[in-house]
This record gives sequence, C-alpha cells and structure tokens, in this order.
Amino acid sequence: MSAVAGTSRLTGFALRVDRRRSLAWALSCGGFVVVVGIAFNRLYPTAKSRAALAPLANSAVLRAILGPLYDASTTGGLIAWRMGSIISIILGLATTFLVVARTRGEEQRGRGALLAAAPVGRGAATLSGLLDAAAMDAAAAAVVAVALLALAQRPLDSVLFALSIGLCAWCFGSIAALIAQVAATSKAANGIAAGVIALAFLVRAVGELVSSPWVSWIAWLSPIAWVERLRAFDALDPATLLLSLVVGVVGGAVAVRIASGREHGRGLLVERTAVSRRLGRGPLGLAWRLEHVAITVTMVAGFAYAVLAGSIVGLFDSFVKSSPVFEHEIERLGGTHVLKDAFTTTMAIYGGVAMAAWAVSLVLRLHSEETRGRVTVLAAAGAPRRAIIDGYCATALFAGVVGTVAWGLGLGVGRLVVDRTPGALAKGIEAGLVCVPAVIAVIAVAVLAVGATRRAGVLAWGAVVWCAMVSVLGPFLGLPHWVVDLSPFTHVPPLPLAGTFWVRGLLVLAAAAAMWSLGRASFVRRELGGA
Amino acid sequence: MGVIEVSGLTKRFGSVVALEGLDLSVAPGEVHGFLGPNGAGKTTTIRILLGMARADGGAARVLGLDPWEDATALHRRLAFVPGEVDLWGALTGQETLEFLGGLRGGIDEQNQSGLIERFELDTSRRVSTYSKGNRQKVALVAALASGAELFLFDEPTDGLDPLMVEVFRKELVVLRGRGATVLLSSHVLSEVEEVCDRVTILREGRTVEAGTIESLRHLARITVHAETVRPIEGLGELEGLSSVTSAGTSLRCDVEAAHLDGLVGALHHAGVVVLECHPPSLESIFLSRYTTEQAPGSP
Repeated sequence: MSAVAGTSRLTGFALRVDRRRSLAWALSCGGFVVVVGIAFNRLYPTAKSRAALAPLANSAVLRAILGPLYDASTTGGLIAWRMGSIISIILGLATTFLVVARTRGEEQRGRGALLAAAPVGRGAATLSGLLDAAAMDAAAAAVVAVALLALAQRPLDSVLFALSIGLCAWCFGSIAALIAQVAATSKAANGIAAGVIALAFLVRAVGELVSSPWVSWIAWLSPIAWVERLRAFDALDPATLLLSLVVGVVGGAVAVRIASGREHGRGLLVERTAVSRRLGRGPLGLAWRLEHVAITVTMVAGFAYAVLAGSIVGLFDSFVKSSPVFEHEIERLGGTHVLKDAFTTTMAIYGGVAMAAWAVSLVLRLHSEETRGRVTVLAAAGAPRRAIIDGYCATALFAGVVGTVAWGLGLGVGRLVVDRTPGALAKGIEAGLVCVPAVIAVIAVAVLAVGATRRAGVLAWGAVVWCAMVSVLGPFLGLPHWVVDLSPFTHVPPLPLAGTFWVRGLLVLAAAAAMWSLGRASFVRRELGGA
Repeated sequence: MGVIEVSGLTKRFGSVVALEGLDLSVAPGEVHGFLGPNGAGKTTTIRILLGMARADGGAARVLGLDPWEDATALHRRLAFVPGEVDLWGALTGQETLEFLGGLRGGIDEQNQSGLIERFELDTSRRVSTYSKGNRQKVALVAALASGAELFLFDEPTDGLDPLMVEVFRKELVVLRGRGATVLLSSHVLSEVEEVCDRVTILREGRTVEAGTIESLRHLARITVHAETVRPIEGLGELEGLSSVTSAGTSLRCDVEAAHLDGLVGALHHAGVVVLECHPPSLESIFLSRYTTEQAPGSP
C-alpha cells in the first residue's frame, strides 16, 4: 500500500484548497435544477400541456440533443429529461479539470515536487485528486437531490437520479485521471478529457437516433446515456448506477496504478522534441507561437465533430418515415427540411458557444501571463501595451472566428455527405457565419474584463456561462426578454436566412467593437499586476 | 557506507543525455557541495535521489535504500528544498508550514518557530503576496524544522538576500553539529567553499572532480604578486607560469602549485620586497575545470 501512503493527508489538503470551487459547482447544479423545475411547472402546468410535449420531445432532433423523455406527466420526469445530460456534462467538465489540476497540474508547477519529496506514495496524489473530485460530485448530487425532493414527489427517484449525475461526472473524472497519466502535459490532458466528454455526448446522440439495434447499442458506451437510462421518475433501472461506479473505480484504480510507476512530471507519452521556429514579430508572434498547436487541434477536432453532428441530419428522413403519424405531423410543420434547418442552427449555436468559451480562455491567457509577471517581461523588452493586448486578443479572435466557421463548414459537409441535396453545404456554412458576431461579442467581453480589471476571470467566464445557459435552456427559463437579449447568441438568425437578418449581426458587432476598444484603452492606462 | 552512493548513473530524456556516468559519494555527517554550471545534471541527479525520476543505468543508494523502490520510506528520513518554490497562493505561510509538516507526520514546533524568527518570515500573510525569496524561506523552514537525517538542497539560496543567505549558512552549521548529512547543490561558490567539507563538480552529466576543497586546491593555479629589489632573471625559463605581467621589479602571475617552488627560488635571487600568494579559490578551481580542456577525473 506504500504507493498510496499519505493519501488521507493529501486528500484533506485538496479538499481544503478546492472547497470554495467545489461548493460553487454543487450549488450551481442544484440551483439549475430548481430554476428549470419551477419553469417547467409554470410553462406546463396541466397534464394536457405535458402530454402535448411528449411527442415533440421524443422527436429525432430533441431526442438526439437532450435524450429521451420517458414520463412527461411529472415534474421529476421533465427535469430528468431536460437536465440529466446537461448537468452530467457540466459537472463532468468541472470534475475533469479538478482532477487534472490536482494531479498533473501540481506536477507541472514546482510545488508538486514538494509533495513528491514528502513521505507519500507515488499514486497518492492521483488517488487524493479522485477523492477530492468525489467529494465535489457527492456534494453536487446532494444539492441536486435536495432540490428534486422539494420539486418532485418520488424520493427514491430523486436521490438515485442525483446520484447518477454525480457518478457520471466522477466517472469522467476517473477517465481524466487516466488520461492525465498518459498525456504529455496537463493542458493536453484537459483537452483530450474534454474531447472524451464531447464524444460521449455524440455517441449517445447517434445511439438515440438510429433505431437499428446494430447501431443503437453504442449509446451504452456513453456514461451520459447511463444517466438517461436510469429512467428516473419512470421505471427505475438502478443497474445503470453500477455501470458508472464500476467504470469509475476501475479507471481510477488503473490511473493510480500507472501513477505509482511513473516518473514525476512526465506522462507516458513524452512531449515531442522542441523545434525552434522563427517567431513572428512582437507579442502577436509570441501569442501565436504559444497557441498555434492548440488552435489547429481544436479547429480540426471541431470540424470533425461538426461533420458527425451534421451527418445526423441525414438520418431524419428515415426516422420520420418510420412513423406515419410522425410523417404527417412533420409535413404539417413544413417538411423535414424545417427540422433539419432548426437542428443545424441549434448545433451551430452550440458550436459557437463552445468556440467562444475557448477563445475566452485564450484571452485570459493574457490575464494569467500578467499575474505571473510575464507581461512585465514583454513591457520591459519594449513592447507597447497596445501591442501586448492586441497580440493575445487577435490570436483569440482568430481562433474563435475561424473555429466557428470551421464548425459551420463541418455541419455543412456532414449534411452534404448523407443528404446529397443541393445547398446542404451552404446551409452549414451560413449557420456558422451568422454565429460569428455573437462569438466576437463574447470575446469582446473578455477583452474588456482583461483590459479593465485585474480580476478578469469571473466576468469573462460569467459571460460564457450566461450565453451557454440562455442558448441551451432558452425559453425554458422563462426569463424576461431583455435578459435573454443580453446573450448575443439570442440574435443569431435562424435558417433559412431571409430579409434583413444581417442588421442585428451588425449591431452585435458594433457593441463588441465598443467593448473591445474600451478594454484596450483601459489596459494601456492601468497599472500592471504581477509577481 | 556512504549516505549517498551513486555510481555510473545515466539518464536520458528522449535524445537529450542528462547524465552520462555520474559518480557521487556522500559520507555520513558531511556537508557536501554539488557543483556544476546550469544544465550539468544537478537537478536531474537530485530527482533520481528522491525517486521522482528513474535512472536508465548505474546504481544509486540513499540511506541504504533504493530511491525508486523505497521512495516513501526514504522520504520519511530526508528533507528537500527545490530551487524554485511554488506554493498554494490561497494559503497563508502558517497554513503551508502546517500542511508540509503534517505530511511528515508532525515536526518540532519549537524548532520551527525559532526558524521562522531567524528567517524573519511573516507567516500570517497569504502565500500569493510572497516574493520569490519569501516562498524560498517557507520551503527552507519546513525542511530545516523536519529533523531529517539527510537534507537535499537544490540551489536553496536562490532569491534570498545576503543576510538570509548568512542565516541559512548558520543553519547548515547547526545541521552538521547534530550529525545530519547535507547535499548542497549550488552555483554560489563562496557559499559552498565556506560550509562544505567535500565537493563534487560535474560537467555535462559526468563527475569531473570530487574531494575536499583542500585536495582540489593543488589542481588550480596560485596567484602570485611580488616586488623585488632587482629585476627577476630567467622568468622566461620557469615552468608553469601563466597570465604573466612583469614590469622590471614587479610581477603578477599565476603559477601551478607544482612549480611554485621554482618561482619562489627565482624571486629569492632577485631579493623579495613584497610577496603575496593567493591560494586558488573554489571559483578558480571551478573555472579551470570549465575553461581548460583537461581530461576529467584526473586527481
């Protein structure tokens, strides 16, 4: 057991360091459930209105995005349908980043060496990271359970559903711990682990869409599907809880095992040999040199993911034809192409929010460089402040815009591959392009935050979370119009584009430009922070 | 049996060779200087001694244990201070010391508060407000308060002001007094010269010199300044001289230890008025190892 000696002390310490962050995540998850639950009760007060929701919810598009709706008659059933996958993904990402930070993140920073030189086993940091994450997920599950108990009637379903979310997130954390042993850096580990969660989402979407048993079984590979297939508030199947638990424990055990035989600070995959390249001029050249690999990888991964998402559209026709009643309903709504366009717009906005979030993280690089005193190095070397902020923000702008366009292109290619109708490609590209002003606006908020304040993270991430909430949950929250309008993604015009759709885009761009230049001007004037 | 016994240690990182047959031997109770320029392999060696990295070849025993296999048991008996200390910014200095002490299963509180006082560390502040020197002090206090048998210091005074370097030096004397063993990696040669019993000098992953500072002195040149009554004769025929500046009755030069006698004889003939001999400093020993093409390992 010497490989994990000292785990309890490390765990106690990790819990203490992360307590605020963990508590914030737990409360957000619970709060999310409460808000959505109340919204459901208001929007669908009667049994009749709920019954009408069921066929729509179980249509191909919504099933693929949100998962199946088993029982629309209870608030619990509605929450389980609407929140299961979303909270699992959000909490899964939070868990992933926590586990990677506590394992490879510490190793990459000098303080990991202090821990490694203490009388603790080599696997102790990984195990304590997993326990720290388990505590966060358990707290989140507890808060969600309390929220559900208040809103829904069935205590057992409430508790098991909350538990399934916590277990799913922890399972992703355990996979992240495994990836952290292999990846060359903690940044790479975070990227790959987030990609695994995206893949899990996609796998279950395909599994939901394709009725052929030859394909639909693949949904069982996704931990997100295990949350849905618990069938909370319908016909409970607690065996799915065991799936997350077993995969989480086995993955965690393997990760600890690898960690106890691995050198400190080195993944199993060694960082590729550094090659000196000629840097571009000034801070822009530096920012590009630091980020171009991540930008290229994200671009390619985003494109590939969008192709898969776009190709799902091609399955709509066969799905609709499988049910005459459904076919009739869809025809009445205007045919499958309406459904396809709606799906494309939704997917484009999801991609836009994701790309905006990623671009914001690039803008915040400037913030972390400032706190580490590296901006002072640039300033002392004679780089004008203006060039410093421009360098980082232009890189982020480039990444966000090109990433969103690549995403749209991917959607178009995906549609074209299976649909083969003229204009399918253009639809995807259009959907991506109209998201660009919104993406730029979110980046501009981050520029303003970084430029004007020295505590930029909260404001910038707040904007991202806001957009994600509004665009994913949208009308369900029942928020006043002017609040919803604050998210630039609200102003993305739906397909097919018609009329003066570009006017709003230009307005969003104008607002973005104003925030951007304000942030830039403030950065030139204010004091620099740093170590 | 030495506290640290390393022979023929090799380590590569991909295509980069970090260690290429390093030897190191540290006897119980000695303060051992570990010298080498940046990139010579000091930190890599220490990481192997700590069991954080695994040697590709050669043998390493620390306190009679295998540092990779018995790392946890070994860590109970040693303390380590890295050259660049990074801490948890949200914690105060006090909390950090408590945590680091707790990892060892407790430390001598009284000893620690004495150290905090001597290092003039304000432990009530958050670590995020600390300068590099203050972070270094936290790690030093945590290690020095530990009561370990063996101390591994990797350039520990980096970032400390001269007063604090002096405090650290005194602490080393205290450690030696109570019989602890110290491996001190450094490139501050005066520091090593003053406190170390023996030194090991490495270059490009190999040991080039090892021994007491006294035994190393004969390898380097002695600096001589002399004033004589008459001009010195036959200066050109003398062996072992270098950097000669002579102007009639005044001479400045470096001379190899083996040829000092010849020079003194010549000076005596000319009638000595002033004679200053400076024994080689560790710095000149060190520099001679890096600026000349001497074969490594010669005594």
